Formats: sequence, structure tokens, C-alpha cells
Amino acid sequence: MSSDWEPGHDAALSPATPDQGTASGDAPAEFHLPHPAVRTVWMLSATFTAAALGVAGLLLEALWLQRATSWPLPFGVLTIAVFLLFLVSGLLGADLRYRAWQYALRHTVVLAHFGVIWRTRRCVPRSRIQHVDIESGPIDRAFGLVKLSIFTAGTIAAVVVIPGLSPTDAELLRERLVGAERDHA
Amino acid sequence: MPDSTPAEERPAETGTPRPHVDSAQTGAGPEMRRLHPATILIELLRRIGSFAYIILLALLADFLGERRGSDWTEVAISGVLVLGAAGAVLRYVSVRFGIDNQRLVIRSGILNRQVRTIPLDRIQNIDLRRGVLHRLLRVVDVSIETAAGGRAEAELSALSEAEAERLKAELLEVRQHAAGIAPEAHEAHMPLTEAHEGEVIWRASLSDLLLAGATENRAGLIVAGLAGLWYTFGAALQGRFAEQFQRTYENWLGAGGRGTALLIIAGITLLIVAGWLVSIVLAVVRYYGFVLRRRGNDLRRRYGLFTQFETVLPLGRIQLLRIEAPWPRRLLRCCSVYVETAASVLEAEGGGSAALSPLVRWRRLPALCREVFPELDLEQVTWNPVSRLTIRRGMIRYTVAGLIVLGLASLYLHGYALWGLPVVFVLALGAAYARFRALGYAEQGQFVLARAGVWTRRIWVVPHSKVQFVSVSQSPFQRRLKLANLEVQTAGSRVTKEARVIDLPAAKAEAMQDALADRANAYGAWQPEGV
Repeated sequence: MSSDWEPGHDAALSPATPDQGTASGDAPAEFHLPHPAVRTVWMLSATFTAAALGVAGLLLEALWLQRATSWPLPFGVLTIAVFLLFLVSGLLGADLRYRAWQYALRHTVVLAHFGVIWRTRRCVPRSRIQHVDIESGPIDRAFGLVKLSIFTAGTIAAVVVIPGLSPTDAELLRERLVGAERDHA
Repeated sequence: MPDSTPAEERPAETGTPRPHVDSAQTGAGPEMRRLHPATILIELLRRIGSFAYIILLALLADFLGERRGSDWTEVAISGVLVLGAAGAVLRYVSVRFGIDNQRLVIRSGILNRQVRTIPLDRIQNIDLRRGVLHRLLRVVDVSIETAAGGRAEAELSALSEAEAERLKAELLEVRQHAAGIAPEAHEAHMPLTEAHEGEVIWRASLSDLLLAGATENRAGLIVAGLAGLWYTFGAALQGRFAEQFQRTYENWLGAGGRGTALLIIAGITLLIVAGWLVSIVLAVVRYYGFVLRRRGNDLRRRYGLFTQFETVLPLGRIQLLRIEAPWPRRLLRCCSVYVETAASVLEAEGGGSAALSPLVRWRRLPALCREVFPELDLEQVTWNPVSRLTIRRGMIRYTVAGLIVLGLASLYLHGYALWGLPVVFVLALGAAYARFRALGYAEQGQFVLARAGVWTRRIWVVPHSKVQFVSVSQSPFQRRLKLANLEVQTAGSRVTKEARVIDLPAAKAEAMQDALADRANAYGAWQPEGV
């Protein structure tokens, strides 16, 4: 178990810093929340997903009943169960997701907290931002909301996607991150 | 894409004076060169190779079919040959390339014409590769990559050896200028000598290669072999051939079960030894004559017995350094060193990174790492432990895994499985403690280091200047213990995982995250050729 083959040497084995809580020094006021309407957007899109799944499930069940002679459950029960599962988890999840989301624009970094089960706190150095996208789906647009995605070098997917921004806020944020305002920050 | 200085703003006069002809309009570049005539043969063989299955199937169908020597087969085969030959000739005829105003221009195609323009300062990697046929014909395949990802942006197959060296020198000229080194373009026509290729900083000896092959982690191979043996012999032992099988081998291996047991053990041993020898031979063939050189700000590797590889790794584009030691190597105090660059070429090599050496003896490791990161002093690194609570997490995780295994075993062992309980607890505790000892992090100057892995020890070294973003993440279990993982992301290849410190105290992880992000930010915009 000796690690003497390795470079460097181990520090004393007692923890260097006492284990503390998640006492980040972020002043709460510094954080922004997505617009509350984004919960409705998420709930609606979860409902649409569940409904689409439900329709597909009913079709499958009907097809199955045509061929098979026996089916343990009455028509539609399984589909409705799946539909309800997706619907309820989507509706509850939207609220939990909303409560987990917050972001802050600091001098040197963009800071974002997100995730319901696995929580992530992500720090993007502002000088490392390569480009920024603003996008909105049909449901987003119905509620006058947009998403802002931040990209760094060497990553295909966005590093951070901030949901629930009003178009003006998003454009302000974009200006600050990559626009002319960047140099004054 | 990096928003660095566009190539147009770069002073064009930095290079040796060359005519500025606007080739895009006149169609005649300053000097458009063509591929080596051997291209026709190589391309033809390559095309036949990709149709080999069709040809084989046609031959097989012909052979098995009733009407032997049917016209259909001949038509199919000659069709493939004619199309292949036509394609090969067209490729040779149509491809032209040249360097024009700090850009590599490649024209190809006859009906579908394509002109590809790659600014020289965007070139990340240049790969030279020659197979056995290439070496007989004295030609080389050259592939050129930018940071765009995906496949190589330009593949020039094939060039004469002299032409390839000349092109490489020209492509690298931009960078050599940035580094204040005399251009080597005019030297390129001269026969290749070591002096032109730069100073040798690493040469793998034959014993290194033998050791590399011998210590490769082939656990999977062994397990597969065992499974295969069990499948073959198990079926034979239980099937209706069992009696006959036993009688045959009893004659020359002794009576009863002893004979079969001996046979199985001999089979397993043979398989393991054979697999081991194969991996030794493979390592020697692959890495034969491994040489790492340094010229200016580039590292250059060359290796291979039959198929030779040559890679140029610009030092400034190295995003992180990874040291890996599977347990057999750790026992022998050796390891492997890999670097990751922002381009994707190296993904072909497996793991998305380039080996700086197939095998490094531990005492020479710090010197090799200094070639990549001069400020890094591995010997002086102080490793900090992660939170001790990680032992608890490991204990729970390994105990659950052990109990599942034990539960499955109890289907066969019944009550005896209870005796396994203390074994599971002791093993889980041991494994959890070993994991805690393996995990660690360190900070030295402008580098952050992470360490993990009980069986295969891995160490990541990331310079602050290459950090793209930093994440702290918590699973539900970690949240209860106030632990978190710290992940440092670079623009290196996406295949390998990012540097990660597991189970830090959450507050410490966040403090480190803020500090790292601040320092990365201070380096300014990420430059492909950056600090």
C-alpha cells in the first residue's frame, strides 16, 4: 500500500481543514433566480412529453391487443400508469429544479448552482467564454422567456444554460459576457 | 472556436519572403504540388481493402453455388477493381496542395471540386504515418488537424518522404518563428539527420518496451480466457461427451477428476502465458524505436516497427499531463505519461491522448514532466488527503457490492455463505482505506494536481492557464456527509475524463473552485498556442 513510487510526498494524514458545511461565502443578494414563470414552462413541457408518451403507449397497446390473445391488464391501464408517473415527476421536478437554480455574475466568474439529485456548482472564468447563444422554444416564447447558453473552448455542449431569462435580461447578460461591456468589467 | 487573432492580422512578412499570388482567383497558386505517383497503388489497395468483404462474399458464393465460375462474380470483382483503379487515378490526378500566404490550400475532385484552406497558425497537429507498403515505396501519409474536432482536416496520402518532410517544415515554420527559431524550410531538402529533428529527450530502450508489454493491464484478457475455457470445458464435462472425454484424457493424465483438473489448469496457464507473450510482442512492434525529440516549442514522437508513426505535439497546445500506473507497473516503479492536446487526432490512439513514452521508470519521471511543464517539480509536490469521511462512503459502497455478490453466492453455498460476511466487511474496510490513501490533491505554483485509483493509479497535472471551467458536484450521499467532487475541465480531448478530486470537504472544494476559476480568468482568453 506504500505510495513511495509516486512523485511528491503525502501531507500529514489528518484532514488539513475541518469538514464544514456548504458555507460558501456568496452573499445571497448576489444571486439571481430564473423567472418564476419558467416553472410553468417546465411543467407544460413535462405535460406535453407525458401526453405524447401516453398517445404512443395507447397505440402500442391497441396494436398489441390486436395480435395477442391475452393481456393481464385492462386496456390503457399500463399507459395511464406511465403517463401519471411522468406527469407527476415532471410537475414536482419542475418546482424542485426551479428552487435549485441560481446564478451570479461576479467580477471574474459566472457562477451557477443547479441540479436536483446531483447538485452542481459551476464556475466559468469570464475570460474563458468563447461564445454565447440565446435560444427559445415555442413554450418559452409563449411566456416571453429565453435561455442563455455559455460555451468555452473544447466543449461541444454548452457549459452552462441559464433558463428563464427575459429577452432584455438575456441580451444585457450577453453584452456583459461577450459584448463591448466585457472589457470594462 | 477560439476567438484568437485572425490569421489576416498576422504580419505576413514574418516568413521567408514568398510571392503573394491570389491563388483563389487565378487558380494557379504560387506552387501547387501533387501527390507521389505511388498514391495510385496505395489508394487502389486501400479501396480494394474496403471492398474485401464483398469480394470474399462473391468468391464464397461462387464457390458454394451450383454454377461455378458464374459471370456475376467476375463482373462484381472486376467492377470493384475498375472503380477502385479509376478512383485512385482520379485522386492522384486531382489533388493539388500548396502553401499560399500563410495558408495551406488543398484542391481536390474533378466533378465536385473542393478547395480547402487552413490557416497555418490554426494547425494543431501534424501526423506522419507509413505502413510497410509505404516504406517499400518510400512514401508517407500526412494528416493535418486543427482544433475543430472530428476527423483530420486534411489527409495527404501519399507524399514522397522528402516532400513530407518539406511540408512538415513549412507548416511548422509559423510556430518556429513565434518561438524565435530559424526556419527549417531551407534545410528540408537535405537528408534527414537527428540535428534537424531536434534534441533527443527520450529514447525507449528495448527493455523498456519488453517491460511495457509485460506489465500491460491484461486482466480483461485473462478473464475472457477463463470464461472461454469454462464455456468449452464446462460444456464438454456436462454434456453427453463427458464420459468419452474423460476416458480419452484419463489414459495419459491419470485417473478420474485429477486428470481433468490438471488439464484445465494447464489450459489456463497456457492461455495466460500466451496472452502475455502476445502483449509483449505487440508492445515491441508498436513502439519499436520510440524516440521523443524536442525542437523549439514542439515535441516530436517517432516509433513503430512495421507501421511507423510520427507526431508533432506543440508544447503550448498541451492542455494537461496524465501519469498512469496500472498495478503491475507500480510494483516495478514504472508508469506511463500521456499528454492531451486540444485537437482530436490523438483519439485514434485510444484514450484521446498521446503517450510521451510507453514506459517511464519512476526516477526519470520528474525530468520527463519538466520537458512539458518546465516549472513543474514533481518531487516537491505535497499531496493533501481528501476528507476521511470518504472511508465511510467507500465502506458502504464496497459492503453493498460484497453483500450482493454474497447473496448470489448463497444460491450455491446456502448456509455457508454466512461465513463470507466477516470476509466482506474486512475486505470492504481494506478497500475503502486503500481508496482513501489513493485519493488526493495538490497545488504547486501554477499547477493543480489530482490523484486517484487503487488498481490503476492516475495523476492529472493541469496548469491554471488551461482551465476552462471548474465544477463542484454532490451526489445525495455526499450531501449528507458534506462532501463534494471538484472537477477541472480543460479543452483537452473529451474521451478521457477531466481531472477530478473526489470527496473533498464541500467548503474546501468550493474555496478551491473559486480560487482556480479566478486564476484561470487572470490568464485571459484561451489561446490555442497560449502560455
